[in-house]
Amino acid sequence: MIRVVEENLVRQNKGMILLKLLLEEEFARLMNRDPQGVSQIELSIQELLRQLSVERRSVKRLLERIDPTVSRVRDLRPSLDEEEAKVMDELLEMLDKSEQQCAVQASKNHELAMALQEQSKSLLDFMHREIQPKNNNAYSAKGRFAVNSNGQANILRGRL
Amino acid sequence: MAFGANSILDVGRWALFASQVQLSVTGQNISNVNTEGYSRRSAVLEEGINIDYKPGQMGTGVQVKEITRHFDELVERLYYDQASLSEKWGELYEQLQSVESLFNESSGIGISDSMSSYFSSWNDLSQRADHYGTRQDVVNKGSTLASTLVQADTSLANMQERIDAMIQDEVNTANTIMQQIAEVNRKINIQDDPGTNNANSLYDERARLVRELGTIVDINYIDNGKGNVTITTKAGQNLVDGEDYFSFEFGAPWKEKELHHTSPFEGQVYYEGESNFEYTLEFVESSAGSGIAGLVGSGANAAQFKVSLDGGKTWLTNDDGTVRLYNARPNERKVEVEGVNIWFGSDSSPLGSSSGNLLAGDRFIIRPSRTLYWVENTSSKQNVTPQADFTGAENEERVTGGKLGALFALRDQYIGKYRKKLDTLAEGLIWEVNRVHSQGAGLQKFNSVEGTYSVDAIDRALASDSTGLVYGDKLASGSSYLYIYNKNTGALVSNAALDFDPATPGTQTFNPDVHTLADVRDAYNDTFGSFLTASIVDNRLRLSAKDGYEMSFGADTSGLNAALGFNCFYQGQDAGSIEVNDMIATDLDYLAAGHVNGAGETNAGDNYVALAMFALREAEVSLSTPMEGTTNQTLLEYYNGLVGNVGADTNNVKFNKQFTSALAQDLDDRQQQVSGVNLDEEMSNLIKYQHSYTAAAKLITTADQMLQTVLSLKP
Repeated sequence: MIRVVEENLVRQNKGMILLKLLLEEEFARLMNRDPQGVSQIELSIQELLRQLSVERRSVKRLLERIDPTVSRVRDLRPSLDEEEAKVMDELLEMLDKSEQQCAVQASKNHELAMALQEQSKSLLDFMHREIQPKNNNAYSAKGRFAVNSNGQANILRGRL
Repeated sequence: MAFGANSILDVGRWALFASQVQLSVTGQNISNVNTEGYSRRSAVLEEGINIDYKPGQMGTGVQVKEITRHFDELVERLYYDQASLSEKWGELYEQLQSVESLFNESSGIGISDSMSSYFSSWNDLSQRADHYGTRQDVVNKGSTLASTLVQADTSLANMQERIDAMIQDEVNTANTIMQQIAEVNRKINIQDDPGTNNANSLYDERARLVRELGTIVDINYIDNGKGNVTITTKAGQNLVDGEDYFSFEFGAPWKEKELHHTSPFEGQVYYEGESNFEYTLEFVESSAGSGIAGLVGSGANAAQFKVSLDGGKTWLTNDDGTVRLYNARPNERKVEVEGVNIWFGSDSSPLGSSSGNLLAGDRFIIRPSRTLYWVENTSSKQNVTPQADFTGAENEERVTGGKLGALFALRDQYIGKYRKKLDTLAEGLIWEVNRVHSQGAGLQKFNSVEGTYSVDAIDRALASDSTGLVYGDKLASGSSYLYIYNKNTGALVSNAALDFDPATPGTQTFNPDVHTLADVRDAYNDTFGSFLTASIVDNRLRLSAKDGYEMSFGADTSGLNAALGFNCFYQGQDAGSIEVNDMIATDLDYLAAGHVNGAGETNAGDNYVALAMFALREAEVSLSTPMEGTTNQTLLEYYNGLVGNVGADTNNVKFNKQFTSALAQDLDDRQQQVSGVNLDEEMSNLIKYQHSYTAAAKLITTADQMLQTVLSLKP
């Protein structure tokens, strides 16, 4: 049974390494401003994340079968012999490390994607501002000087 | 006026001209497809005037109204911001990589390795304390460690010098560009007639120059039409204003006083020494509610100031976390603050005297390294050197971006920080090693010994800021033992702790806040006057045993021997000056592996000090820098932390570089979509205009035929 847990951890580790590579590739595509490429790779990332969560759920179920009182792999350690415990420690450490690397890379991707989006948005906002009439005061059709109070473009009361 | 073949000829002629212009503009676009900074142009056509006629208005053809340039000013303005950041991080990354390789253990410097082998050599010595080969090995390893530290420090210092040269180049380039932009503005004002004669190439030239300026320094671009653009730094210093231009200057270190408008103080701050920090001195109240700090003076009631190295964000503190206060002293009692000696003199002379009270809040600012100025005119310049606080937040009233931002950050914040940490490591190493060694004994006793550390004045308390003793602040109250032996028989003649007041019964121990170097001399003479002579030579203490006697140093709880440089392993005070004590380097017998034991004996096989030295490898040492405060860790951990710092900084800068360059590239792409030349489009235009030209020619031929027809009519 421990062997199955180990196998699961090995798969998770490989998955994490792949995830890191995919995230790096995504970053490279973001750098090249290739939105189509980014969305393709994002699909793969989501699928990989789904598979990783399936692995996590399955290892949880395994743990319950081994010992219902145990909720984490680390908790199994006292019941393992030295050799097994060492392997388990290494696997968990590796998993932890690659998980952190993935998290760092993911936050970099997020930051860059948001910044690019923000930049496009600010250009668009600027355009919107430019097409809004700046001087909101206008004379009405009857010659009344109307001070626009809400500061927004107002078609019905504007310069018509 | 009649319409007929003549007017058709005319229409054809105008059409020919128009097509010619279009073809020529297209040709210009095609030929400049690879020209940097060239914006696509196109000819705008306009219908010729119409003439009222029957049955209706008749056109007179076409004319070229203007040649416009496709350029997105908004995108360009955003681009300046991003490009300046991207350039800054790019430059930083490039330079930091070389710093990183310097700290790479495999590249040959290997401070970590040297330090490990040095401490291990003491372990070897502990097993064979009197073996000369092993003793030599300790000295060699100690010397290697010292030279690797010196080498690392020298490489970093060289890098800073190189950066200074690079800054000078960038400043020169920026000044030339500002001048050029102003000149282009002048030409634009002369030649540009919007809507008729657009000075397209001049606008392109200006945009190219502004882009270039934006890579050197962060800029604000304000376009008032035609040549009337104003370019300022982000902080607001004017760089180009229409046809006027300003300049930068990379010049001498700088100091400034910012006194309260009612301050009666007449004088100036002076300093000596080098540092990468900018020192902000701020005076504090002498007593609560008075608002007055006091006078500059030599006494105890002198005005006091606190010091910040990050523009007033954080103040230097004592070990207990309270803000550290320094006294405002005249020239002869300079106060040492983080490697720089500071004093106050008259406005015109550092040796003169200042007058008037200083008020609380009066500030003085000192920059001991070369400084960047924005020059408004010959009599006014402003310090715009990039500055960041210890959290990395930049001072926005200074230059922040572009290559200049990067180079200054590299010189002061990155390399400056690494050098400071390396110095702290070296200081910690020297002090800890000397502290242990100075209480040990070698195979040979001393006939005479001279301290390696000097003071500026022999009559000031050794722990005082103005004494100039390198390790004065490490001194503690305590006693220092000396053992005197008969030179011929080797018998112990006397041993005692230094007595600082023989008149008072009992032994009066050393107090660093009271006792001066002269007091130490007197204490030696008073305590051991029959056996030795203590004297002060070149502001260093010298002990000479009288005929027939020799001496050994013993336990020293005050640290006095280590601070004065008696029986020390290392001499020097920082990473640039550390070296093995000349005395040990030239005579291995003085290397202390053992100590004077309780019976006053020194034994050849004693490994007491060697073991203590090896234990230093694992010992937690208190190390402090202005940026990070005081930390307790082993010397090796501290160095590894420094290497980690460099790695983390490089990684961080790398991401910022990728991030900002992606954003800048995105904006450049957008600009290129508008202003870039697309060859396919130009080729199709070329064919279109060629056909227009052919058609216009055809029109002329047709008109010609019509005229021929008319001419051939028989009268």
